[in-house]
Amino acid sequence: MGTITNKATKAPLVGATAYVKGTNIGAIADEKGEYILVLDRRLNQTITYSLIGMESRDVVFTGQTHIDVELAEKVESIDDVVVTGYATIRKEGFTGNTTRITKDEILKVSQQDLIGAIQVFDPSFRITENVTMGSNPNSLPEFYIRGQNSVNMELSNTSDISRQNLTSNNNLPIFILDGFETTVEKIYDMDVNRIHSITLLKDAAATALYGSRAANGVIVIESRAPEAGKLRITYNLTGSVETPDLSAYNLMDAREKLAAEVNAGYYKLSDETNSNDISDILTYHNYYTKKLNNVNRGVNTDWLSKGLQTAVNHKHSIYIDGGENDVRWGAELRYNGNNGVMKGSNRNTYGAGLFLDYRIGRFQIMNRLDYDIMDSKDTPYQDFSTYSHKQPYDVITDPVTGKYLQRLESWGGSGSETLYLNPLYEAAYLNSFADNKYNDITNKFAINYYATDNLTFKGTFSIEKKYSQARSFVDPDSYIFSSSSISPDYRGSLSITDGEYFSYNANLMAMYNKNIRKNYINLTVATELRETNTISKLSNYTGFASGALHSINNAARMDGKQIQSSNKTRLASFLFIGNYSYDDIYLLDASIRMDGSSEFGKDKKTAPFWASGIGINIHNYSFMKGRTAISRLKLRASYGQLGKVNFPVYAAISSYVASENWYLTGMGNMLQYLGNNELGWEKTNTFDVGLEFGMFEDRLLFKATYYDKKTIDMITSVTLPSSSGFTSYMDNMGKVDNRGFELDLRYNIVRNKNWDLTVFGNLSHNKNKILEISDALKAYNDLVDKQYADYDKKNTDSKYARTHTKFVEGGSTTSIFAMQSLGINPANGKELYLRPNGSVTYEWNAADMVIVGNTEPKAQGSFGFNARWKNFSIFTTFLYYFGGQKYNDTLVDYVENVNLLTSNADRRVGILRWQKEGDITPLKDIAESSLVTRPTSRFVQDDNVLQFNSLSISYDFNSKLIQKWGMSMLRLTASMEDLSYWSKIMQERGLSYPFSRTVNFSLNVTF
Amino acid sequence: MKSYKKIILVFASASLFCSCGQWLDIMPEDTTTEKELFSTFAGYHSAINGLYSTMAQSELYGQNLTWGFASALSQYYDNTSSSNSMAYSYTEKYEYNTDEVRNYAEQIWTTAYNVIANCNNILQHIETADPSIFPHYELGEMDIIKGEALAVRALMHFELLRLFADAPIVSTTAKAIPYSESYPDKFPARKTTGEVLEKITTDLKQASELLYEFDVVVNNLPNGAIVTNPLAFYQTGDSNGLFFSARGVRMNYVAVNALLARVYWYANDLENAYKYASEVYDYFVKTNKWFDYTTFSSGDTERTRAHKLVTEIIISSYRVTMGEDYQAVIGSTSNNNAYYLHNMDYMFQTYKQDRDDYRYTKLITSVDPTKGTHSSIKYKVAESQIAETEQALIPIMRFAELRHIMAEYLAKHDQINEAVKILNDHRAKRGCITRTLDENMSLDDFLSELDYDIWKEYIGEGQYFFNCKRQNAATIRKGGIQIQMSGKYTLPIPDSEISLN
Repeated sequence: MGTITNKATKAPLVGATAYVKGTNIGAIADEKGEYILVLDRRLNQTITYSLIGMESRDVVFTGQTHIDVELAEKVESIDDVVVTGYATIRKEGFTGNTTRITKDEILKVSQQDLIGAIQVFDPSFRITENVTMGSNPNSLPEFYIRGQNSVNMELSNTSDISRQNLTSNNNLPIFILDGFETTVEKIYDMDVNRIHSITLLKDAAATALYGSRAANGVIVIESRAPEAGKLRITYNLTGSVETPDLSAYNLMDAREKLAAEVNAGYYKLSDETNSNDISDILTYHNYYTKKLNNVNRGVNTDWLSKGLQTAVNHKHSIYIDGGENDVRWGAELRYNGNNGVMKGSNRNTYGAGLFLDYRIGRFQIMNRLDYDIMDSKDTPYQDFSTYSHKQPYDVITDPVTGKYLQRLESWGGSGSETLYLNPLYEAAYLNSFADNKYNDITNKFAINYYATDNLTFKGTFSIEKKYSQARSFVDPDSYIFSSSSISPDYRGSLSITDGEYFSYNANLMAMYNKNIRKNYINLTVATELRETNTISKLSNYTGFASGALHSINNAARMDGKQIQSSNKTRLASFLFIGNYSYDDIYLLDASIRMDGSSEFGKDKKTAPFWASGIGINIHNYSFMKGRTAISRLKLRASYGQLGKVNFPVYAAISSYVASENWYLTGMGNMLQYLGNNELGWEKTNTFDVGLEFGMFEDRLLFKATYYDKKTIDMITSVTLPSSSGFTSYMDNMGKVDNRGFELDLRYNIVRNKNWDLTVFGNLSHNKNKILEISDALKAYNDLVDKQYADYDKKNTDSKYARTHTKFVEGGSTTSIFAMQSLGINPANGKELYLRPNGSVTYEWNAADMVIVGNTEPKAQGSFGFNARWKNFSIFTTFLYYFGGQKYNDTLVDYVENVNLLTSNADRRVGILRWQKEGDITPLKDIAESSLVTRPTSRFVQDDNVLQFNSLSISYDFNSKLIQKWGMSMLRLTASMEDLSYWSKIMQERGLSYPFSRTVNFSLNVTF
Repeated sequence: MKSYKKIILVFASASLFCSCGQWLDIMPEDTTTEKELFSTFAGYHSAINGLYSTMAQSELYGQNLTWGFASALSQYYDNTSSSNSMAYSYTEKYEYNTDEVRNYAEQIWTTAYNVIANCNNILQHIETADPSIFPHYELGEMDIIKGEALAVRALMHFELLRLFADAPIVSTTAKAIPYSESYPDKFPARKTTGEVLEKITTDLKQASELLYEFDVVVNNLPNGAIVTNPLAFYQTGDSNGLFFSARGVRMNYVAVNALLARVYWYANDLENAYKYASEVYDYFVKTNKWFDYTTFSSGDTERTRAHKLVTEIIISSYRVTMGEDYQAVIGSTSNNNAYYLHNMDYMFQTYKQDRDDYRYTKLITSVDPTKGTHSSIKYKVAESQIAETEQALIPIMRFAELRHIMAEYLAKHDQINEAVKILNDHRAKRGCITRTLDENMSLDDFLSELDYDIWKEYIGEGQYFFNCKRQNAATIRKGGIQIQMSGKYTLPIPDSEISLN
C-alpha cells in the first residue's frame, strides 16, 4: 500500500494506477491517493505507476510494505513534438516537414498580428503585400505556402484585394483550430494570448491527413489548456500607438505643383497658337493667376493627412485557470479595440471562453466553449485614393463659415464632375456608413478513453454557429443622388447582408502504439464527418428623408425581393495513419485518406489521397551518439498526392434556380451555371526531401528542404463565348509546378546565467511554372489582348495602363506581360518598341506583349536575433525578398500619364519626362500627357525589399521580488512593428488605405 | 482482445460513412439539380416557364426588344436636342462602339443565348424522358414541351440575327451568329445568315407540327370567343392545369406560324411569307375569329380604353410588373424625357394627314403641348384592363403584320388594288376615315403608304427598325428627317463572345 501524489502540488492523484509489470495485478488510487496492491512475495518485480498526463514511474519491489510515489506532470517539450491536429507525434520519429511556433515566439514579433508573425518563422509562408489596402484593420491578409498553384482568371482593372476577393482566393492554406477547420477571419480576429502553439504542415507526409483540403498546406493551431495547480490569474494588457506611414508618397506641394504646370506648357503661348486658341489661353491665364494667388496666400492643402489619425488602441485579456488533477478548468475574457489610421475605421473584438477538463480512471472529458463578437466600421473617408492626389493649391473650407466646401474649383479641367468634389465634405457632414459585425459561438467536446497503455480512443464533436451582418448606407444628401432625375423618394440607400453559418464536425479515432524491442509502431484510424451550412440574405432599401434616420423603418421602400443564397457542404472521411520506426533510426510513415465530398462532381463523389515518407536519424547510430559534436543528422523524404476542392457546388452539377417573377403559366426555373459533371478535385503531387543537421546539443541547427509541388487537373474558371449561354464554367485544366528550396539556420551562440544570444535566418526560393494550359485558357489570353482594343477611341482611359497576366506554357502565374521597350527616342520623345520578331516599331500591339518580368521574388526570408541579458530580452526580425520585378504603377499613373490639370503628381514629373529634342529621359514627351501609356517594359523594375519588421524589448521581474507582491510572473514589453521599409522601387503603397507603423507596450502578469 | 473488436467497429462505421453516398448528395436549398428537375412533369413545366420568364426580363422583351432599345433604334424617341447623358443618346446616333450601346447589345446577346441554352437542355431531356411521368401525355404534353422549346430557340436566334448580322437582302453567305442546338455547347460555331435562317424555319416548322394537335384540335377556341372575352387567349383556368392554359403568352401553334411569316418576310422570301401570313390570317383571324380588331368607343378616356389592343396580339410575352416598370420610367417626373415620342404631330398632321388615326388619337398621349412631345400609353396602367393580365402583356407580334405582309406580296405581284383594299380596310379599322387610298396608286406610292402604316403600328413596340433593315432602306425616318443608314444596320458582336469561330 501507499499513496500516489502529484510531485509539484503534493495533491493525491485520484485514479492513478499501480500495476505489476507483465501481469494483470494492479490497483487504483482512491480519492486520498491511497492504494492497496496485493503482491506475492517474489522480489524484484517492477511496479509501474501511471496516470494520464503524468510521467509513468517504475519502482522495483524490494519487499517494502509501504511505497509512496510522486508522479511528475508530463512536460511536453514544444520542440519535440509535431501537432497534426489529429494527434501529437514525436518529431524525432516523423518524416514530414513541419514548422512549429510557440506563443512566446509569436508575441515577440507581434502583439496583434498573428498571421503576419508566422512569416518570420517560415520563409515559405508568404503574405502577399497588399499595396491597395495597406494597414486597413478590416482587410484580411492574403497569403500562401510554397508558391501559388492556382491561376486567377478574374480580369479586373484594379489590383484590389478586398475581403470579397479573398473568399475566391484559391491559394489559401486551411486553418485547423483545436482539431477542426476554421476560417481565416476567425484566426485574424484571434487573440495571440489564446494560442499555445502554431504548426505549419508543408509536405505531403504531414498534410495527407487532411486529404482533399490539404493541397495548399495546413496550419494547425492549438489553444492553451488549463494546468492543474492552485488558482492562477494571468492578465495581459497591450496598449499600442499606430501612426500612418506616408513615406511612399512623394507628392508636390502647392508651389511645386504650379511650377510643374507652367513647365508643362499649360500657360504658354506657342508660335503656332492661332487666334481661336487665344481665348482658351486667356481663360487658363486667369486660372493661373488665381492659383498663384492661392499659393501666395499660403494655401498648401496637405490632402494626405486629411482623413488620417494616430490611432491609440488597447487590448486586454484575463485568463484564470486552476483545478486539481482530475478536474481542471480555465476561463478567459478578452477585448481588443483596433482603430485604424484612417479616421472612423475600426475593428473591435470581444470574447469569452470556458474550458473544462475532467479525468476519471481511464477517461478524460474535455469541453471548450467560446463566444466571440466582432464589430467593425469602415472609414467614412472612403477610399484614400479619392483625395490623395487632389490639388494642393485648392481651398477646401469656406472662408466665412469655416466649413468644408462641397465642391472644389475645377480650374477648367474636363472630365466628370465627381473629380472636383471635396471628399471631406461628405465624410464630415453626412451620415453614410459601412459596418460589419458577427457573433460566433463554438463548442468543442472531446472524450478520450485510454483503453490500455497502448490503445487510445478519441471522440470529438464540435458545433459552431455564427451570425453576421454587413450594412452599408448612403446618405440621401450624397452627391450620387444629386441628379435631378432621381426623385426624392429614391434618394438614400441601405443594403443589409445577413449571414448565418452553422457547422458541425464529428471525429472518431483509435490510436494504437506498441514498442517491441527496438520496433516502434504507431497506428491510427479515424473517421470524420463534417457539414457546413451558409445562408446569406441581401436586402436593399431606398428612399430616406434624412441621413440621421437610417433604420429600415425610415425607408420609403424595399428595393426588390430579398435575395437569398445558401450553400451546404458535407464531407465524410476515413483515415489511416501508420508510423514505424526501428531503434529511432529508420523511420517510415504512411497515410491514406478517403474523402467523400458533396462538392465533388456528380460522377466523382469520393477520392483517395495518400502520402508516405521515409527517414533516417543518423545521429542515433551508436557510433555517433555522444562521440562527436554532431547532435543531429536526419535525412527525410516524402511523396504524396493531395487535393483541393475550390469550386461552388453548382459548378459541378447543372442546377436550376427560380426566376425572379411569376409567369402567367407558373413559376419558372432557369439554369444557374454551366455545370461540369466531370469536375474533379484538383490534385497536387508533392515531393519533399530534407536534411536536419545539429551540433553542440542542437545549439546550432540547420535545416534544408527541397520540394517539387506539381498541381495537375487544376481547376480554372474558363471563360466561354457568351453564345454558349454562359460566360464561364469550371474545368480541370492545366498543370502548374512549384519547386524550390528552404534553408533555416539557428545558432545559440552564448548561453549562460546572464547571457543568451541566438541568431537566426531563413531563406526560401520558389519557382512557379505553368506546364500545360487548356485551349480555354488561350481564349482567356485573347480576352487580355482585347482589354487593350479600341485604344484609339479612348486613349485617356486608365484601364489601358494596367497589366494583366497571360497564362502561357513555360511562363509563371505571376508573369508580367508588356511590350519590350527600347526606351524613349531622344529625337522625338516617342517610345520605341522591340517586336518579338526582332523588328523595331513605334506601334504598340497587344499580341506582341511578352513576359518582361515576374512578381515572384527569387528568394525571400527573414533574419534576426534574440538576446537576453539577465532579465532583459531583445528580439528583432527583418524580412527581405529580392529577385522579382514589379510594374511601377505610380510612375505610370502619377508621372508618365498624369493629367496635371486634374491631379497632383509625383515630384519626379518634372525631371524624368522628355521635353525637347536631345533629352535622354526614361519617360515620354511631357506634352503627351493625356495619352495613356500601355504596358511597356520601361516600367518593370527590380523589386528588392528589406523590411525592419519588428523590435521588441522586454523585462522579466525577478520572481523573488514579485512574490512579495503576490505575483508569480511579471513582464513588461515594448515593441515596434513595421519600423522601416527599404525598396529599390519608388512606388506609392497603401493606395486605398495607408500603411502604418505600430508601437506596442504590454504588460503580462500572473498571480 | 476486446480492443481489436473496437477497432473493427471503427472500421465498420468508417466504411458505412464512405458508402453513404446519399448523405453527400446535397444541394443548397434554393437550387435544384437538373436531374431532380427533369424527374417530374412539374419540373419540365417550370423549365418551360423559365424560358418565357427570362424572355420577359428587361434585357429582352421586357424593355430592350420592345419599348426600349429597339424603339430608340427605330427613332421613335428623339433626343437630338438633349445631352449625351440621356438614355439612348448614343443608340439614336447609331454609335455602336459606345459603352451605352455595347451594354444593351451585351444584355440582349447573353440573355438570349442563355435562354437558348435552357431550350437545348430541355430538348435534350425530353428526348429521353419517360412518358409515364407526364399525367397529360395524351393531350400531347411532351409535344408541347418539345415544340415550345424549339420555337423559343428559333425566336431567340431570330432576334439575334436581326440585330447582329447583315440583312439577308445584303448577304446570306456572310458569317452571322452561332446557332446553338445542344447543351452544353461550349464553343458554338458561327453560321452564315442563310444557314441560320434555314435552321430557324426548320425548328419552327417542327414546332408547328408538334403544337398543332393541342392548340388546334384539343384546345379549339370557340368562334368569336374574343368578342365575349377579349382575354380568351390568356385565361388561366384550364382544367388540366395551369401549364395548359393561357396559350397566348406561349409559343403556341398560331404564334409559331405567324413567326414563320415574319421570318420569311425578313429573309426576303415573299412567297413563303405570304403563304404563312395568309394561312394564319384566313383561318385564325378571318374564319375563326380567334383574334380581332380592338374597337374604341367614342367617349372613352385614356384610363378606360383598351390601349394595348390585346385582341390583336398573336405573340405575347408576360411580365407581372410590366405596368409598374413602365410607369417607373415614363411616369416619374424627371426621368422620362428619353422616352418621349417626338414628331408625332408632324407624322400624323403634316407628313400624311391622318389626324383621325386611333394610333394618334387613342394610343399616345400628349406630354408637353409646347414642345409637341407625346408618350405611348400602350403599357400604361388603365382601369379598362379587365384583369391584371392585360397590363402584364408585352406584344411581340400582332396580326396587322400578317396583313402588311399579304399587302406587300400582292402589290409586288401585280395586284396592287387588292393590296390597297387590305391596307384601306386596316386603316379604316384604325380610324383613318378621312383619307382613303386610291386603288390605282403606283407601287412606289403604295410601298410608301405601307411603310408609313408599319411605322405607326409599332409605336412603343420597336419593330420599325427591322422593317427598314429588311429592305436595307437607305434611310430611316425620324419625323421629317431622313437619317442615312449605310453601315448602321448591324450591331457589332459583343465582347463577351470572346472567340469567333
